[in-house]
Amino acid sequence: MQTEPDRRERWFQDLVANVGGDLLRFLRSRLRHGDVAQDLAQEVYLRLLRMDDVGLIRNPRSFVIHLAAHAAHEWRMLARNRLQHSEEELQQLIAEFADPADLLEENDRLHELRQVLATLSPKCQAVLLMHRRDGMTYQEIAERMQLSVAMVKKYMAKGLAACHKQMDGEE
Amino acid sequence: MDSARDKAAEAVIDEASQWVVRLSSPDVSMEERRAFVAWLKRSPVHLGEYLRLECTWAELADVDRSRTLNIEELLAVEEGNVVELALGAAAPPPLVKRRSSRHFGAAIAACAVLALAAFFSFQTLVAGRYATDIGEQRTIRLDDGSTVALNTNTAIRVELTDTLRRVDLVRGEALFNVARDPARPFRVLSDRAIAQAVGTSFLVRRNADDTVVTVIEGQVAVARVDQIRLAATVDVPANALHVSAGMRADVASEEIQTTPVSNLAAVTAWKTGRLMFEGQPLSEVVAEFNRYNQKQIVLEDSALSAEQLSGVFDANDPQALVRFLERANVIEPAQVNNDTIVLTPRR
Repeated sequence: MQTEPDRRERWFQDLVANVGGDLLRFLRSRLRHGDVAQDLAQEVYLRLLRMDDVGLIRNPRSFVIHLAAHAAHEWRMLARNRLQHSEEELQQLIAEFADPADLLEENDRLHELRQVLATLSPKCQAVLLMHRRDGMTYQEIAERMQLSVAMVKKYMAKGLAACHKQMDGEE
Repeated sequence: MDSARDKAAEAVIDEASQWVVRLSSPDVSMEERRAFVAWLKRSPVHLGEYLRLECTWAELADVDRSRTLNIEELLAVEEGNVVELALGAAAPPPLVKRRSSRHFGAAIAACAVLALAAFFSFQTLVAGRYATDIGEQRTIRLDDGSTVALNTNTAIRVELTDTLRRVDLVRGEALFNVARDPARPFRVLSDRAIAQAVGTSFLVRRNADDTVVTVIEGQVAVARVDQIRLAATVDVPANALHVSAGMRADVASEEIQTTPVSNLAAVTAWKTGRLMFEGQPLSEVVAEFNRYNQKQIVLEDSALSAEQLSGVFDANDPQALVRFLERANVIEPAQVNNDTIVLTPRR
């Protein structure tokens, strides 16, 4: 027996498996600009408060991302005067990523991010690249750099925050 | 500026960043997950910032698709040990391997140079000339481990002795990443300007009537000097200004003016073939493009010069700028000739 929440979660899982990083990029383009971003965060926040913690806590990270993607998507659908819940949603989401203007912006942003990355300490850069680009686990990085996993996380968080703040300043 | 609020906002970013990193680990304890949800529910600001950081996190995976950044090299910089990196136990991908073995070669060459230095004291060890054409860029690795990235239409002359590393910027613009060597200051001469450092990163641009030194990292001594008098000494002139990271010094007449640089990334964007503008007048933007391209953009009307522009462009694609201006209804459809593109204001 498949309940409605189960079906939802399944849909979310499929979504992330299929779209992955693109999903986040799509989200970013909606989270970026002032009022829209605030409204969206607010909307997701309200949904979050309505969620029961048990389901949420099982995988909070993907849950929140999916919640946001879903809210952003529903907005779009509403704007088109129809709201539907079907497999088509997924196809449409994917189609939306292919917007050439978004892709251009995306490229510009990556160029900027690259510049920003280069301003970090070499250790921060190395840690971020090993994990994000090369897919090494924290444990592997810790061994490679002869650091504790906790230190690796510290460098990683520091680097990520620094990148984000600088990118933010430029927007 | 409301600095208390900025601080609070920064603190949220720091926290959100820690959560992104913690939750990306394969083993997240139930306790951690609970704490995260509690943190999220505390404020929509937390949630919004968390989502935005997730996006930056995702982008970091694509930031170096061409895999040009070398982990071994980054770690070597940190350890200050060039030789060890080629012997590192970790198996790097093929591209990296090739690069690091080349650097290993460079390290051996550097050692050889040092050995020679011991024999031929006060002799010029390495002198070289390097240049780029319009639209061309290249990065040179000097034997002391420093690198010099030459921008478009640039020429330098390099002279390494055992007491001084000297580079003459004959024309154009170059980014210097200076390997640390307190015994041998690194000196850049450009027209009447001198920039001197021990180990740091800075940009020098020689214009027709001034030289601009922008410090990316560390500190650089900048002075206006008479080159003939200077040749004899390796000391920084007594009147030198010490310019720190994030500042630029304009060396024109007698006086040196320093101003903070709001965006260092924009100043070095050319290294990736990009030009970044932030509210600069169109006349400056066009001058910048014209440095990189044979095909020159001409502003037909001075009314256009003052138009302000922000954006990121490919340095070698002036057409992209033209299209941008056309779409923004700033100009009439451009008139493209063999070697010029003429812009007239929208009527």
